[in-house]
Amino acid sequence: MKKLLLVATVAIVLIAVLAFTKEKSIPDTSLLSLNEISEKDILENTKAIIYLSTTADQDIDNKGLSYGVFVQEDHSVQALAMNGLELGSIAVGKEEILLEDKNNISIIGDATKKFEMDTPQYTGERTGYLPKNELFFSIYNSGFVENGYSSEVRYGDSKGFKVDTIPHYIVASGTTEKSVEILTQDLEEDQFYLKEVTVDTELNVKDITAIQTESTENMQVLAPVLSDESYYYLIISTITSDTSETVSLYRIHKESLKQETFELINYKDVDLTATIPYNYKNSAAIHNDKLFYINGLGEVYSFHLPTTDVKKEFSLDKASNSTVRHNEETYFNSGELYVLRYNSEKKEPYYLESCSLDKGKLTDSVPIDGLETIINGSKNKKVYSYDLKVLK
Amino acid sequence: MELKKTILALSLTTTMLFSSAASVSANSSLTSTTTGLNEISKLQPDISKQELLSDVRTIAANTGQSEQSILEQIYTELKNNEEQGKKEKAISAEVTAYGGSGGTKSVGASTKGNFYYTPSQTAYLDHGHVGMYYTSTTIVESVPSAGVRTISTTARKVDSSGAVVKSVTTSTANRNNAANWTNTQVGQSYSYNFATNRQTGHTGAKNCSKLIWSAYKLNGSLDLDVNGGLGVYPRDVRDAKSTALVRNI
Repeated sequence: MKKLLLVATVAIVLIAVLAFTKEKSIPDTSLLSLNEISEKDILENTKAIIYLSTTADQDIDNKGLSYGVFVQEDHSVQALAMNGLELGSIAVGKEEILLEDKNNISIIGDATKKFEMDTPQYTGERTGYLPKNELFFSIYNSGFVENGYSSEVRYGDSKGFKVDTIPHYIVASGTTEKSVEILTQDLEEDQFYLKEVTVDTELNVKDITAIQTESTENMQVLAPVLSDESYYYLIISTITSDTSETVSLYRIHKESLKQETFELINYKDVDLTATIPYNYKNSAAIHNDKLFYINGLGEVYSFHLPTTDVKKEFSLDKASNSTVRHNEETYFNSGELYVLRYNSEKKEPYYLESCSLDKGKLTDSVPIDGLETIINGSKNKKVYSYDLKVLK
Repeated sequence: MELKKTILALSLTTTMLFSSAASVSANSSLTSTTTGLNEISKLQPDISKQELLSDVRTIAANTGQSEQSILEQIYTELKNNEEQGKKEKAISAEVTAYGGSGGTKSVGASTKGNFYYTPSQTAYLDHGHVGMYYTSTTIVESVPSAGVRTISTTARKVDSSGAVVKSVTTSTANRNNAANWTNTQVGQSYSYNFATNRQTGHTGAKNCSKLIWSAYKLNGSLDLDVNGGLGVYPRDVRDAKSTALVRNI
């Protein structure tokens, strides 16, 4: 009995020690105010930015929180704490970036501007920058209003932001130089629609086409809306059983609106939740005549645009096939695939890898010092990653 | 390895024992209506005392119970819910500390009419949270401030520890109708009132557990509340007897 009591006491002490070391509070030196970001020229030395937020259900006490985490070139991190915004994200403009929370838009560059918005938002969809118009935008799945569904759009620049709405529930989106393509879902009609949104002095929504599917009931969108000169591309899967799913690429000709479907991946006897991309908003990109797609198993597939050939290009090293995630994120830019990864056995468990899409090889891997402390820094809240942007 | 298992088992048992003791002590009496309102407000600070008192008076008028006994019942339910949250959080933390999964997961797809439960932290309480599968890949759920919303199952992240998908044991027609009904509620505002949400109307503002409870109450006459009472909390829905585990998320 004494032995048992001793073991139990040791166990409790051990747990207390583990809990204490696990929930380190964020050091003051890692937290920045908006003014300090400008004053210290943080962007000058920023390699990447990660967006973390609590989910909307944790905002019950109005104390949801988010962080814009600036990963510095020396691998250290500095974080801007904000209010929460589930599925919030970061936009990168010309020498400026946009950060957001449920109440505010912040533009960070040589000068820093913060705009308080009249109506809070709780579910982000996409932020971005339209170079042709030199405008930032952010779209939210806001919910039903009196006369139907409303997705609020905030758009503007460092001079100010306007607000308008898109009357649709958005399931995917993507950007070009001058427009935002959105895939909307009408749950009553059981139908997906592709539309184009442009913003300038005002916001316009143009219908492109309805997507030809028998039903949307067992379908899920796994990638952003992509496009090139001739086509729009969607990646949508159809779940056929608890362990089977077909991932298809939908190609829609921009002029004729002819639709074609190509099978990308056919999963059989797998845990389908594990195959969901790390971030379905950043899971695909077009580079050198190929459309690349990375799934949740760390497998990179390509669709050769001229020939329509599908190929498994490469896999991330030691990628997990578990459904458990540790804030992994992906970001495609200039022929590189950047991946925020986690390995509990490393001294700094979070690290940023880059892989060449052309060579299918790892080109760089750098630790991110202190990200774990920020992620685990809140005792009563849990933040999750929702975006990664790599600046250099 | 065996020692590790023994320590884990003992520490879990110890936590449960301490938690049970705390739960029993929660049933202590409130000395007056004012004390009752004050104590309840500490556990549910987003509801004004006036609003709570108004609800209590309505319930008292409808049931013939005294206001004091209704306040006692609300307090006991809230306190027990708080203790259960603490207990589950402690167990989850210990499992993680001993090499459990930690991390996050997407809720993933499931059958229309099923629901998911996840632990959900606030500064003052782990209420838990539930959401309905409106389609196999679309969740309808009520979240603070935003109200009833739709979100893709690929987008909805939850803790990997303690989250589950459950089905409701009833006909497919009831499940489909219940799921369809939740979709008709999208856009309704959020209610912070868990304490007396069984007594409030099915339409209008509602929280996450009320959404699912009402959906099956109106479509199949099922009472997805493990312990009855005045309030239906997310864990009450999760543990209701007409539900079955589909999978751990």
